[in-house]
Amino acid sequence: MEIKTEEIRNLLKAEIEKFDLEIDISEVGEVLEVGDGVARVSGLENVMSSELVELPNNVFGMALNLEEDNVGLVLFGESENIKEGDIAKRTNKVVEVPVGEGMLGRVVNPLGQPIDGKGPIQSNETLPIERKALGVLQRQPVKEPLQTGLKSIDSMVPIGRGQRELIIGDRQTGKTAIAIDAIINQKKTHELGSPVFCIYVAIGQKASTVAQVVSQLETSGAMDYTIVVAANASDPAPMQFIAPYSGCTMGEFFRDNGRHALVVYDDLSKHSQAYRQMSLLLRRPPGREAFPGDVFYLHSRLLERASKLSNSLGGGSLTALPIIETQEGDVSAYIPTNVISITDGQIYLETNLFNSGVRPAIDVGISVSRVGGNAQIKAMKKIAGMLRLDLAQFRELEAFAKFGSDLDKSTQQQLTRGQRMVEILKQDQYVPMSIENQVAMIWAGNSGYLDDIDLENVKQFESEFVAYLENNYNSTLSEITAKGELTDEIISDLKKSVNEFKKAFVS
Amino acid sequence: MRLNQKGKQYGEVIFKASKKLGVLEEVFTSLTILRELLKKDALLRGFFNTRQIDSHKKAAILDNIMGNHSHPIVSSLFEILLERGDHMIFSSIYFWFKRLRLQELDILEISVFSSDNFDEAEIEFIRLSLESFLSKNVIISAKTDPSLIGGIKLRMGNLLLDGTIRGQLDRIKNGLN
Repeated sequence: MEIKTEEIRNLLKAEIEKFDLEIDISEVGEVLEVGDGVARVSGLENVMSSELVELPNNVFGMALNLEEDNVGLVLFGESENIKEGDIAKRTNKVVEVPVGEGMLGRVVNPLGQPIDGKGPIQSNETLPIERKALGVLQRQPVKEPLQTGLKSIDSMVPIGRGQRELIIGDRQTGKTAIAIDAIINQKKTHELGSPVFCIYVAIGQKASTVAQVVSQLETSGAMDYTIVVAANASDPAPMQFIAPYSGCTMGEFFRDNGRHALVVYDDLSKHSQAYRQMSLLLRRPPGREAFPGDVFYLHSRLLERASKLSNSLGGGSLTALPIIETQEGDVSAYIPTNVISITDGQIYLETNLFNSGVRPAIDVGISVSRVGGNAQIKAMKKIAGMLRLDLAQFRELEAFAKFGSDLDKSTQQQLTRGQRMVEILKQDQYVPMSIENQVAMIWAGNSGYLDDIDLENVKQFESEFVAYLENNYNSTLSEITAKGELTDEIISDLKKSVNEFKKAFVS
Repeated sequence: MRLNQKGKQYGEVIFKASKKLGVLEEVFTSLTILRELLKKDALLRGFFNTRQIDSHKKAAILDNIMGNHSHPIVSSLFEILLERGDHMIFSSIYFWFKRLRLQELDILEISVFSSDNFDEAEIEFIRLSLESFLSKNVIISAKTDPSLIGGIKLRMGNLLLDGTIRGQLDRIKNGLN
């Protein structure tokens, strides 16, 4: 970093000039007790809720419990550095984080401080982490698509800009992989001129896992438009508690400036556990599963901040992809049901599907997107309309066919088609597919062009067909993107291309 | 906090009783000595925590230790606390009693911090200046902290007035950050 000595000298001069004029008057309190990341402080009678309080040894706390004669603070530093009788000083400001483009490409902690060793953050603006969600008048319905690059999601569980779509599933079912793929796929939006900036919030994860995610994002060139907010498993519970709010504030900066942002909360199960720990230490009464009574509000106020702004406010959007980890597939537990009811749909990932090689392991039956359909491009809507139903019927038939009884021709046909569609919807990690390629591929499958292709060759067919289209029918693909629908001309081009390709592929 | 509220209740009760009997200062002195004893002597604290000795005996032993400084109100209070197992909140009771006493006598306790020692004339000057400014009786407790470099810092209840060089430097540091 370049050191501007003249600037520093001027700053010092300005500060020294007002040296003997100022007397700092502040309200202070005294630490009554401290431990396990929380402190109780007497005094501080006028402290605001969520206000930052300064303690000795450069430790800061946030006022959460305002009681008659004391204040409960959660500490953002080591509680070992604080002792009974220490002075706690009000700062008169709530917790704020730096926002802006200077944050892009950086890994920061929930206070916005860099933890990637790349020097100070170049940002002059800060915003409070707790901001009120926008009202009805400031919003408009979700109408633009947010492409994840995953065929099964973009076709059957489409996500719109400003939507809140939950990714839910047991451990090791590919929840983070979907979110990372969605982030990587936003690279195209930066090339096409309607950029989506991304924020990945890691809550209570292993530092090694976060490092792996950052490295993957760097390799894919996605870090240029991404901010990673990390509150690792080793960080105090208050840091994990504020992490999603910090990430949301960083995303809101882009939304409020008429741009688009995508924020991933990975994951809210650990977030609620951190909040439970804090609440119990603050002696708030426990409720169901020992969570405090306001655990619903904890997530609803966070997810309500995702929105699509009205045109008069610039039309920006903040899309949220919260992640919830279930235990043994139990979606009826307290936190999963809460978050399911808050969000605009959920993508449910199933262990059995994952283990049988269907990846992403999306259970089409209970995955749903309540508003994303409005944002889906017409072409995709047209071909994906029946896909969900067909796949559900295929799953039923598949179970029936296992009994080995003789099947009529139409049932066999349905099974063949279903198997191929399942194969088409499988996708490797970190290889998101553009929407026009998805449309072409699903159209081909839906139209039965793959029925005579061996199941084990479907994957090869797909990759070669997509390459063939890009090389020989690029104009058709561009037309799908530009028009957003499947015109008769486009369909005839696609028919022509698939017939030509099949000749070469089969021979 | 429940314990603190209990301390507040006890503090108010013995304050009212002392005031009614006109023994506010005697009770305060006795409470102060007992607090100092408990604060400094870990063995004594351990003795009061043991369950093998009856609370009456503990109270009698405490009376002996306190000698002339013992006051019947304080002795009775401590015996009740021992019986109920509430003796751990004694410092909270003391805190509330002290606060009510200062309010009653219209006294403001002010801590003055500086980098060098004050002489008596300086302390008296500060006290008189503050008394005329605040229209209250002021008790000064002077403390030395060399890290302040220069200037003084006043702590009046929940208010901190920082006119030290250290404070100024910290503000410059924060401004530059």
